[in-house]
Amino acid sequence: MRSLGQIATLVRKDLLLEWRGRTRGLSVVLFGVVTLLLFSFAVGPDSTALRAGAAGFLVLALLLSSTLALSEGFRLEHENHALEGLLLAPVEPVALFYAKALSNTLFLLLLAPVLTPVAVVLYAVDIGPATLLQVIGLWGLAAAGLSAPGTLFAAMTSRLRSQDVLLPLLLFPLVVPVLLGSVKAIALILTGDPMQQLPSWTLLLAGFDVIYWSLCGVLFAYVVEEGV
Amino acid sequence: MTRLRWDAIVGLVGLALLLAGSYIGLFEAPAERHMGEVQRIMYAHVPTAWSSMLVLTAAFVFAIASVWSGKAKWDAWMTGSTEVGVVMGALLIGQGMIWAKPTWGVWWDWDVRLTTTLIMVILFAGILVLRSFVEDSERRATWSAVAVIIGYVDVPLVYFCVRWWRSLHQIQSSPETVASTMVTPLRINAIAVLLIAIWFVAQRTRIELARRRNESVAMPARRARRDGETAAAPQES
Amino acid sequence: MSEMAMPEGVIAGGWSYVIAAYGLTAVVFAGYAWSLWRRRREAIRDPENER
Repeated sequence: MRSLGQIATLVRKDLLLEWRGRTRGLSVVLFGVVTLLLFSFAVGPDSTALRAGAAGFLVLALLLSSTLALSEGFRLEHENHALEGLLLAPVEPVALFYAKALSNTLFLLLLAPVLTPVAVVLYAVDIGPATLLQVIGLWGLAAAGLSAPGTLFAAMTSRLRSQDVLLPLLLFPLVVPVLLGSVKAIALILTGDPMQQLPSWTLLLAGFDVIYWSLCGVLFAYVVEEGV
Repeated sequence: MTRLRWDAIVGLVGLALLLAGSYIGLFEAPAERHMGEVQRIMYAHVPTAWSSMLVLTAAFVFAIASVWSGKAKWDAWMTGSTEVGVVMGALLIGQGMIWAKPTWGVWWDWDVRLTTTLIMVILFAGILVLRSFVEDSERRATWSAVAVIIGYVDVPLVYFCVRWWRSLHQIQSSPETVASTMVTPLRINAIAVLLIAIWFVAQRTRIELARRRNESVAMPARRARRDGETAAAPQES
Repeated sequence: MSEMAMPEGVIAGGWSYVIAAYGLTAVVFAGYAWSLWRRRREAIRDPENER
């Protein structure tokens, strides 16, 4: 399976680049923290309201940070025409997509261990280590859901003038199921799940991920094929 | 270019039917028992809902054809359908709000269908915005078709998700059961709005085809000007 | 100014909303048709300046 090897190599390359330029990644993390702060200011120092909205604020912080991360992911590729080089290598566009989407997912996943404790502190949420792991797991599903269509749209918009507006404009309505699903699921994890709804929401997220990781993988070739 | 007469006929028939159906719905059909006269909004609202969904489905089919064949005409049809779908979706939301205010007392009650429509209108409007930023016609066609496919697949996902999300809170259903005495104006208007929508799509498609033709004429001249003026910054080729 | 739905009653003053809804529909249809007509004329007339 040559493609799997290619994907692994590409992911390693992306992670290495990310590590070498880690100030960039750091700035995205800081942006996430700032977002969490802003939500507190928007709601006010009312710990009940903050606790009730904690899951929503967390997911929104993830969502807003993701657009930065996603567009960054392609900026380097375009700056040095690296993308054309890769495609000529030859790298299968499919492999390229999955590698990029995977790198993006991993990067977004790394936001979780930073942002969740910040949210726990700011919003006065009670959370144990088992709960924290559950939140991170769900965060992973959400990150995957954002990364698949996000990578595909980022590949398009990173070439265009108004990319900063276009990427969120296209992505945010599309990932509403991820948004709703992960907010609900994380809220249930944080505040308890008396009616056993968590499996349904997790299934919804997983379903979204499966559908879009397949669909975007197939369609990515059309996005990058002509004169990238 | 040959005048397509079929769409003019379609449009006129649609308009006539709409006037007839609306007249019956407004003046001859009985008032609904619980909702009174407000129910009559349904003779416009429900047909608009059906048509917008059908038109967006057509856009999806055209998008697949566009990606598959690469032919300009499928891109044009897709663009026409998408724009009309957005317009009718926006209209649907307005109608829904006007219906909601007297019925529920609020302009917006997170009705599942309207919420889904709102999200989809924004999404497909975004795709139209995307088109306006891509200068190369083939890339524009491929990219927006891919986006339409991705967007359309999202519709059922968004719908079910919002439905579950809502069911955990208030349970306000939108009664759309229609008594048998009211079926006639509804059917007439349903066909009418669909025909009018088809007419809209045909017009918008023709505009797109004309623009494509203009581009293939203007492109060499424009490219020569641009390459002469600007230093080649690889912004958009 | 109660236009709330009563459980077994009838909504009063409904006609203004009905007119609003049909009026909106008419305006949108007419407006969009006009927009299409205008854009079609531009597309046919101006090959250089279109888009």
